[in-house]
Amino acid sequence: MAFPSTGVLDTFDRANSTTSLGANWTADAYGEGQGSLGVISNTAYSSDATTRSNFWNVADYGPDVEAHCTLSTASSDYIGLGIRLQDTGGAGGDVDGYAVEFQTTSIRVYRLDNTGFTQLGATITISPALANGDGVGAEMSGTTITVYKRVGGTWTSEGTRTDSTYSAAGKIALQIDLNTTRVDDYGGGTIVTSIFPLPDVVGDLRRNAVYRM
Amino acid sequence: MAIAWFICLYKRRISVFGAHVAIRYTAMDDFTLNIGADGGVWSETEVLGNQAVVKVRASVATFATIAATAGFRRLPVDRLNDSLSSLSVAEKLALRTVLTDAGYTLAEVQAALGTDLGTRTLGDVLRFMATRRLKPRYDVLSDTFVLDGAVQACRSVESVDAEVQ
Repeated sequence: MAFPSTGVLDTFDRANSTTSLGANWTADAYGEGQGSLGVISNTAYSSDATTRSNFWNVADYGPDVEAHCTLSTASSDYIGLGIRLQDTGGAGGDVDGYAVEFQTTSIRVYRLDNTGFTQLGATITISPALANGDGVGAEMSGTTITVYKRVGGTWTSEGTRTDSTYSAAGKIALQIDLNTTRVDDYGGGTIVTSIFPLPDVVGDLRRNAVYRM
Repeated sequence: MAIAWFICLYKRRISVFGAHVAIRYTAMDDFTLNIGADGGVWSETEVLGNQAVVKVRASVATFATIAATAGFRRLPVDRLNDSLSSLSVAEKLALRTVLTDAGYTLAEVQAALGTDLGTRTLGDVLRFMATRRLKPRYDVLSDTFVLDGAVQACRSVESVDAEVQ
């Protein structure tokens, strides 16, 4: 199954804000007391030199779930993608689930237990470093978490981790560390499995175009 | 390249997820670059006692470096079906102490593995060690991880074994 199977949920194409990511987002995805991400120039960002996070409050997704986004402006600061998050939006300190942290040269996968982060396995090294316009993503299918990068329009797996602690559907989230990185085209949701091959829409258009010429 | 099993502690470091949040990580991650330079790999299962059972594929020299580091214990045989019959009395006692130090009672150990570990395999001991763990939490006030939560299942030793060949 190709990654991603889900489309973009938010392009952040709206007015700038230092304190809100929009009505579909709620601040403090991991119960750490973090403020909300904001919007600048149609991208998501952290409006100050802190880590900020939001979860997508529209629905729970999964249990087989994915999240992905584009690094409009990549930097050495980290971004995080949360999946299968439970107990988000409460008083804090009790969020369970999984988070994947991407830096331009490394990836770390975490399990959250009551907002405590435990790294699963080794730190994954990315080479060459991620650059502006590249994408990052994560999916959890069953007990396997797979992390991805997108370079030149092609998604590739960068590694897997196994954990069976949290198996229920949950929220998906976005976290950005400090205020240099810009994120665009956040997507995700329940992994879509199709028993039929998806139509090759682009190919059809190309063939049609040639035919008409 | 060779295979070895280790037991090591979880450590704490300030997360890149904001300077005020600490994270737990398997101490083996301190050797990820060494293992990677060998062309090797490692995988772990979290077990009772804030510890991980870790299988590593790396060079013999890297194994020696890891084993010489405080907080790491290399297990005396390398394959799950290797018998522990060759262990000395002192080695078997040390291995049993690893289990009781993790939080299992001597009665639990003996009920599962008998009174002589020499009749068992490495896999028997590791599967017992991965019987359970406790859910951790981060205590903001003391800035520490506390393992006093509900009993959790561990990732199977077979899964770890299969990932590192």
